[in-house]
Amino acid sequence: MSGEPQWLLDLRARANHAAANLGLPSRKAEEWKYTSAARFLLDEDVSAVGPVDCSTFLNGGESTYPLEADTPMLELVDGQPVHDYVDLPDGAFFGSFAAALARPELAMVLEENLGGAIDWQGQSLPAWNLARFQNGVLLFVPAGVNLVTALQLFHRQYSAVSPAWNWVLVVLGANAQASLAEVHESTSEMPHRSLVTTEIVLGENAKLVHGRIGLQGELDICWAATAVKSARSSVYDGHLAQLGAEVARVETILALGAIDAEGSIHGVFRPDAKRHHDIQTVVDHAAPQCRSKQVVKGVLDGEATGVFHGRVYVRPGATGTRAQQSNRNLLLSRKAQVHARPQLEIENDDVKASHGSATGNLDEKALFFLQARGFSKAAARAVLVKAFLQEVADRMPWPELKGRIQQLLEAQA
Amino acid sequence: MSQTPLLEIRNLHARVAGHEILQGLSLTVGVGEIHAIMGPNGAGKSTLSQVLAGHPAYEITSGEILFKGKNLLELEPEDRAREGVFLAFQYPIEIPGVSNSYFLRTALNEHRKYKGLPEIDGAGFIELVTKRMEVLEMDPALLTRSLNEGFSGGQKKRNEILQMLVLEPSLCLLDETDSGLDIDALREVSKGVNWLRAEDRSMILVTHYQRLLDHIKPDHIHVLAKGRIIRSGGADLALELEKRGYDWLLEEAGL
Repeated sequence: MSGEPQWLLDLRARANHAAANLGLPSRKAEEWKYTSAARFLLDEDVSAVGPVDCSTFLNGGESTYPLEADTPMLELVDGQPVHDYVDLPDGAFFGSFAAALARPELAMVLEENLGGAIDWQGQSLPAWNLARFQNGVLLFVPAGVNLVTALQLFHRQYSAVSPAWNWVLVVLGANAQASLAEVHESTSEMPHRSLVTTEIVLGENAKLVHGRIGLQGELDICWAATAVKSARSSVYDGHLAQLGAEVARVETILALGAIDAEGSIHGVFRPDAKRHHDIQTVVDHAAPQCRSKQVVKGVLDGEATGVFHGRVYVRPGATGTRAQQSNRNLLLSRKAQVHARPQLEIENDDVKASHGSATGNLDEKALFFLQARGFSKAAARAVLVKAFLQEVADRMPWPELKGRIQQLLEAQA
Repeated sequence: MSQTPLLEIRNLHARVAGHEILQGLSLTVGVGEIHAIMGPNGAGKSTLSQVLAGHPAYEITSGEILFKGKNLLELEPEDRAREGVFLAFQYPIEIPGVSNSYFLRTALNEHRKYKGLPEIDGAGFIELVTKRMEVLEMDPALLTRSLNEGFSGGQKKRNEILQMLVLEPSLCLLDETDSGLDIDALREVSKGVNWLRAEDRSMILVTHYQRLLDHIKPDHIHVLAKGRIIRSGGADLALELEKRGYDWLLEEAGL
């Protein structure tokens, strides 16, 4: 195998063209008011990243993590796959784009779905990411297959020089089920930059449990987007935890465009020092009888800033919609601040929707009560922060990650 | 038998939000004694409880408090608790997301660590807390629920006393624990308090009403008004207050 197939080269060329025409979003755009897109994409990146020759990232067709492993995982280190694929049963595939392109049936899956879930024609960061991603990972689960084993994908960075631009495509056939946690990690001494797009295409009645766990080093600048395309009665169960990075923007775009589809987003973000975390969600109800739920909680310390911008659209035809959105933020210091913008646009009458956002400080009465029972001030704060986040953190479906996240959440209180 | 008093409050002045609430309060509580502090609304009864527990909103402008001979005012609230000061709150706090058992066990272990004792394990804790709940006739299911969340007023007050029974403090401060309790709940709460009575344990009952004192017999009764104690006496003083109210005392004190 040498080079990328013509269809991919064409797609990248179109994305490149779109990106160049779009330019970076201006701070005047509502969703970019508090975070500058220029932080994620420098002029030099555009020349440094890509164009890519597929043959440079083939890994010798090597498999990793046999079936017996508890949590099969793949790693993209500085944009390069460490292994080509993970062995999975029943025709399912979890591996690099390069390895997938070497198999005609998987090459077809890529060709049919790549770039189909995210709006790269209208947004420059996904457009640049598509035009220049260094490597990608495909998770494909054929119709009717239930992958019982949870999968993990690590976006790891060790090199400070070049940004990592990754692309992930998840395709679940009808009635298929899978669980994938994406973990962003890096060394803390150096600044790393990354763009990561995850496209998720669900078949009828398919169910995906998906996580994006940001454990980056404290100097990192990371943009990551997840775009979900639903099918009839499909379920997307999404979990976010943003704990690291100097600047992180995490976008989730959930398109509920088929009848009876369901989607949920449970998220926590926890910036301290001078960090900036920006959580964006778009839930688009475009078909009848769909259900969505979002619960996003932020805990901010030091001089950290946070953004929650949640948009829920209910289109004229989306009758019988159920949409819930809740955002709660806890400020642990006087200098921390959060910009919360819950937004609901409803264009029909047959809808049950609720949304709300509230920001407050630690409850002084509760703090004193715990101290009066012998808890140190630090322990009392940790208990209250844990209690605040529990509703979301408890739902994290991966026990190992959950334990790690809870430790981090408590340690910083 | 002469002993250092457990608690000595000397000429205490305390203010909150610019208002001087305690205006020269003095009180001595011996080891093993039970004192009741009564008085009209706004006299400073709850302020006294909060100041003893170390609430940060109160500023001590003069006076001192010695607890076991130590300067209590220099201690953080958590160290006062670990030294043996326990305040049963008038309005117990609800903390959703923190289970009652996790809270109680952590509190107990904080106390044990302070005293240099090993932490109690899960089984040992359950055994201890189950016995204490029996004293109060509490539903064991309350242990697994979030702290005070959705508890009735009576359940919250019983839960305060449960914490007291588990932590076994040397000074129990009951801040209007009787308020809002029906007769049965008052009896059970009092049973718990009496269960804890011991020669080496002192109590201060802050109350508006005589009825708590029907269940828990104090050794001394004090009337607090305008931020200081204007009259002290024995059990008969409570009966007289019940009959005559506070006005005559206020008049005598020139208030």
